[in-house]
Amino acid sequence: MSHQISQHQASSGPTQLQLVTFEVAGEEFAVDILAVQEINRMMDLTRVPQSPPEVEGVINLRGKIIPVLDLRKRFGFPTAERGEDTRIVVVEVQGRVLGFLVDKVHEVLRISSEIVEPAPAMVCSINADFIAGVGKLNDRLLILLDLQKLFGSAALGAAVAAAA
Amino acid sequence: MSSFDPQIVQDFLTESGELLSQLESDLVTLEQDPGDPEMLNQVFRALHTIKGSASFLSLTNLVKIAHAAESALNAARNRVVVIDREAMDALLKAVDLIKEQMGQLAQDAALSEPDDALVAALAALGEGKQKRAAAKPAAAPAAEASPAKPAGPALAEGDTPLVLGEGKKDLLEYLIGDLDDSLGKAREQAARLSDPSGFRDAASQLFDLADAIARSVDFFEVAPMTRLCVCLRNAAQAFGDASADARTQLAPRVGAIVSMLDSKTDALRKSIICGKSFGKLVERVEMLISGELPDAFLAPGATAADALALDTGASAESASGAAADSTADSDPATRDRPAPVVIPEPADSAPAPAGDARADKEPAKRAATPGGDHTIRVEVNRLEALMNLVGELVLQKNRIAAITRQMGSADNGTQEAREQMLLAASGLDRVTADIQVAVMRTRMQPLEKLFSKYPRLIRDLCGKTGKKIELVIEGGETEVDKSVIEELGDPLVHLLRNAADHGLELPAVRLAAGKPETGTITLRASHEGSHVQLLIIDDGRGLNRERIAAKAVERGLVRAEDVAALPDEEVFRFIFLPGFSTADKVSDLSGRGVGMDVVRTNIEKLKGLISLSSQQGNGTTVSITIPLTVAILPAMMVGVGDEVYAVPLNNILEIVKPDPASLSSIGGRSVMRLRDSVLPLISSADLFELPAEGVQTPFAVVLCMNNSRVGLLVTRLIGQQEIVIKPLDGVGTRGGAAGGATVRDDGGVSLIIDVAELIRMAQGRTNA
Repeated sequence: MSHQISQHQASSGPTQLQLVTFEVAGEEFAVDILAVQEINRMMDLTRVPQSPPEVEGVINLRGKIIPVLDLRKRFGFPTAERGEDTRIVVVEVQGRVLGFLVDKVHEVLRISSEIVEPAPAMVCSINADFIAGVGKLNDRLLILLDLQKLFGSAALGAAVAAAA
Repeated sequence: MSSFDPQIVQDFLTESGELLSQLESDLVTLEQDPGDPEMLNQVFRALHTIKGSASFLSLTNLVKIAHAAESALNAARNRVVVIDREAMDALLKAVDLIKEQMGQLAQDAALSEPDDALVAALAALGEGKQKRAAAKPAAAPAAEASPAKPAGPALAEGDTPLVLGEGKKDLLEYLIGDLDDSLGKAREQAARLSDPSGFRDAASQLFDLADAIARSVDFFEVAPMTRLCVCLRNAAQAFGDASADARTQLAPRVGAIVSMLDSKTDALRKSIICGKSFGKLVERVEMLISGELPDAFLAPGATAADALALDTGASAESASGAAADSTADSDPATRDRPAPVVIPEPADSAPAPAGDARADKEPAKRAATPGGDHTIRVEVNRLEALMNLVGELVLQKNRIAAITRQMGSADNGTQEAREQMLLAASGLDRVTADIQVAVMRTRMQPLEKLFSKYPRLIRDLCGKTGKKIELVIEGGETEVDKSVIEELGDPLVHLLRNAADHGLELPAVRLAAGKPETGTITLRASHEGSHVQLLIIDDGRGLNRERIAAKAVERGLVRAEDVAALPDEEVFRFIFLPGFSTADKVSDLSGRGVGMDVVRTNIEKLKGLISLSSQQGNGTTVSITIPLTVAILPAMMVGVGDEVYAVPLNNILEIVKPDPASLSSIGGRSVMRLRDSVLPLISSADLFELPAEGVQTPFAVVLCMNNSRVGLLVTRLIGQQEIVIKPLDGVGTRGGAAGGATVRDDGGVSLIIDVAELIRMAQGRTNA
């Protein structure tokens, strides 16, 4: 991984959140590090015909075929060219391994749970259901994603059910 | 139940599950020839083993029913009763109940109480009462045994009272009965140890008996007795190969161990743990087993009593007295059965035929396995992991092969290095193929595992339909992958039910048609290259072409004027469609029009083919062809635009480069003239959501499944490759043509074309 990883040590607070932060369409998002299996450079995706639009394709992750989703499409952002910094974040959600595309991975961050607040109604352009909370960090605003709601069986199950 | 290690419970479930399914099919076989002593013994032994293990786990309810069934079988074995239909029904019900209880055990639920009437009926049989006695015979043995455990028996010096858990108390008498039974036989065999011609046989039987005794003793958790059992077992095992000298020393001591066990069992009956010590007996036997001679010698011709006296210091009289004593009152013949008035031969000779039958088989078995067991149980997960790794290996091998090919054509590297590389690659290829076969074979299981359930199914169907049916099973030893066995179970049950319910006629109808009264269903399995063929043949009335055709016309599947021209095969094929049934009435067996659809779907899931042939009045044959394994399959890699797809090779009939003049379109769908037929075509634009223009598709791959054909237009042909099927989980395709994915030799991912789905799509368009 070529991107810089810096560790912000915050020692106060009873519960510490360790997050991976990344950027999609100019906004900064974060997910719990425990859900993240690995972060890969962009690789060739095999398109799957007749799959839901946000499924970009499948990749071979050391012998396992996993789907890769485009977060931009999931969030309803305009699509963009994949660049040098595009990464595939591989996560495990409810026992299922999948990857999603992000524009750039920032860092691994420790923050206290105290600075995380529930999502205000109009915080950003994405569906508030996907947001687990918002963290204010100096002048940055981190959007903590709820992976269960974003990729969990209920979310993808709807797509699969529509397919069947 | 939870008080036991889940691993032990799991082992019990696995082992007893296997025994039980064998038992069930054996019982049905037994019904054909109720007097077959070998089969009776086999059934009895299986049930006995289940009971033994269950009692160790304190499964009171299971032991109760198993014991009742076992005593009924024992009576049959001793020719006191004959297993008639009624008795068989009771026995099968008992097996069903045990199955149910094991299911409950697996879910950690409470085991259901055995039905009193059933237990009573079995117990009545066990007591030699052929006609169902209305009384309460089940209570009889209990009442008989209860005076044996009076409150507060007088304890001899060194003895301690036996303390048992609540669940175990009920089982006490069963277990003591078992112990008596086994020990009685052990005594007989121990006596034969000094017989120069029969000692090997005796030792091998003694070994089995020691095992049985150990299992019963285990239950009481009395360590010294367990030690004696282990010693007895080891002695029996070592005996056959021991030197003549050692044998003279060992034989009486084995007898002494048996006597010792006898007196301890006697004490257990009175709820006492006998404190009698066995001094140097075990120690000296162990020395003998390890090949050393003991420090104290017995004169040739010494008896068990002499050995006891020498090794334990007990007086010979008391030891033999105890032995004689227990012989008198503990022989199961006198305890469990009524006085042998009804028995034509003396009770004592009863165990002999059993012993003889074993003697024929056991030494041969033992000889084949000198160093212990030849099989081990392996968790399926581990095999699965191994299979996945082999899949990876195949993919890596493919990559190496691809790189080698590139090297061969490139100019870099010396000629010699290239040749070396080619050699190594082909070696790798060969080894990988061998490993693949070897690992696949570990997952192979005989179809017998599946087939053994069917005699019971047919037996039940006979009862329900009032038909007489004989099921002939051939080729049960044919092996297929475990996953195939799992998927094949339901379709075969459907097909057999269909054959029995729809295919075969009632006896009267058969007689009127000049056929034998009993209908025959043949289930035949055989290997055909890398495939397995299964045939389900019945000699019933056959399919009614007219009725199926009429129904098909009625449902608008075919036009009335076309139907006459269709070959039989295609008319019969309609019955595989969902919801298609010609049965006049829906029975609880079949007729809902769901079955054949499910059968076809399951078989297609296995990448198999199914076809039907039938002659009215003469029966129907269903033929199923499935690949041996579904995990790895040969495929043709094809390019469509810039993408690469895998097409299962089995489904490819041919690949043609169509002349543009042979392409046309009928009613808006493209077709191709292929020699003298018209082939529907699937274009890449439709299937792969590619732009229709700009993709050149000069080749047509002609695909076939179940006699339906379709042409797939592709851009390039890349070549054959063995592919490992990987599931497309969580992608959420909308029933597209991708039946899975695989990793190519260049490391990329390719989708595998689902030919069944493709044909369905082509046909869907036909109907639209």
